[in-house]
Amino acid sequence: MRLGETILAGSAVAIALVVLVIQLAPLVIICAVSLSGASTFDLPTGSASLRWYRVLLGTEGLWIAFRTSLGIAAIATMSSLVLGTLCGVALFGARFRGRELLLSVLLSPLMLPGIVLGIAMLRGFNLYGIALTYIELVLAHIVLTLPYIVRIVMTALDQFDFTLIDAARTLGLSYASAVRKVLVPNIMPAMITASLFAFLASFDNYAVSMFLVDARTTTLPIKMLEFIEESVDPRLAALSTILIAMSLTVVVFAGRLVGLRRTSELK
Amino acid sequence: MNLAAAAPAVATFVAILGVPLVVLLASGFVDGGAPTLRHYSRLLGDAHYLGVILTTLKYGIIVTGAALLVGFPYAYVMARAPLALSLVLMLGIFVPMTTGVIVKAFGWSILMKANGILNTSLIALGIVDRPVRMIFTPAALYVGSISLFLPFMVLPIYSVLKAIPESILEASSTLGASRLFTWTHVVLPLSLHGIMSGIAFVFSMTVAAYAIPSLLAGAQFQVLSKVVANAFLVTDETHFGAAASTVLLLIAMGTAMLLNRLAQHVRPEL
Repeated sequence: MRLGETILAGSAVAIALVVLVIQLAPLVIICAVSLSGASTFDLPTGSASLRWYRVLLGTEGLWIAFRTSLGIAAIATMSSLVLGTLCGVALFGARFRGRELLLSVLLSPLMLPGIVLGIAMLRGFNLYGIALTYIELVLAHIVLTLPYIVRIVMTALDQFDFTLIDAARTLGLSYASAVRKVLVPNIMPAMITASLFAFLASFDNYAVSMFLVDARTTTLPIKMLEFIEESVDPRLAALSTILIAMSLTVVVFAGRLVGLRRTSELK
Repeated sequence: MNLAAAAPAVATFVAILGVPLVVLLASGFVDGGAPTLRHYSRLLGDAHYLGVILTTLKYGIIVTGAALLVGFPYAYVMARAPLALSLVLMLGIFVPMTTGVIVKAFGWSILMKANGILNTSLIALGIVDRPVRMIFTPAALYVGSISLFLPFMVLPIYSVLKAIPESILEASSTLGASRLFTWTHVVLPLSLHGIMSGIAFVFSMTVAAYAIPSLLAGAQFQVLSKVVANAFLVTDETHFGAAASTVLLLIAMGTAMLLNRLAQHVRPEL
């Protein structure tokens, strides 16, 4: 290899490594600070301490918000999974005018400004007379998570070899059991991955939920922001560490399931 | 499969988002029951709001440009490096991407505090002699935003780079092309499609960002999304807010759609 190329390749690797450090720095620092025994955001000096995890356990408000977010993300993801799979399968085989348009409309919440989505949905709920915050959040999060499922179901079907169904039928299976025994296991890893990403998108949502929450029903990201603005102590670092661990688990699990290479195409 | 199976999802989508969004955007053209363009002339005819729109565009362009500049090498190394390095680089994309914006902004603010770790290290290394103001500066916002949106630049570029078969590159060099020629005539055209979707993603997300400018740049940095939020949450000028929403939507979606349309044209046949 010539010198110029070596320098170029070397600088690409250097850029990648510097960027990697910058990407992980805020997350690593949070984990480090959460283990500090002091009340400031310092790196733990001497021995690590679980003090802030204990304080966190005693912080009622954050746990209530945590449970709310967990419930909303679970209900929204499961609903989206049913609605989105039906929709993705139906649209996959269909050929009609406006199919592409319908698809891009259904996927649009991934690209639309969250704050405009939030305001529109809030005013919609007022219009319809829906006044239960929890229900509003669930419905809004279904719309937000639906694109993840639709998109991934369609990608998975795209990569599925439909002659396998014919093969299964030739071997004596009914159409229904061929779908159940051949198609479903094939697209299952992608669907689980889709659900996990959809779940995290709902769980972490800030811009849309911001308009829908009230004093009694608040999601975790909103509650965390309140804490950041009021009392600044490392208990939030402890909570954030738990959330980072959740993401890491999901990513590793998804990587195991479908391979990160394919995950990057699903997203 | 019957097309009717798509109905529940479409109906939910239309009822919860479609209709309310149309009603919202339409209200930007109404004032006191009569149709008007007053809200638009207020938004586009006022030096302050024009400045905000320009700031928003500048913010979007700088973040997108920087994300492309560092995102391409990152994606390239990720696609071509040995498995172990490639996996580590992927973790550097996926873990931040699936962590909430509040958590990341919180991490950045701990790093950038006056007596925070970055400043203490800089002083210890003798690079500066007193703490540098970092948080609530444009620099903090730009670093935080580039980092936040980078995954959406890296992933589409990574997937097109990964799809380029080694055999094509070998063929190019066997036929006598220099590395540089292979780059400019093979690799770049084949990855253009991914680059354009990356640009579309990052630009539309950056101009619409709300949380990160508030958390890292503070109140003096005004972007269009803050004008929208302010109109609905503070001053209760909903019609004006609707007009601002429409402009924000046009900037974000318009650019994305234009680039995606262009990307369709440059999609290579392999």
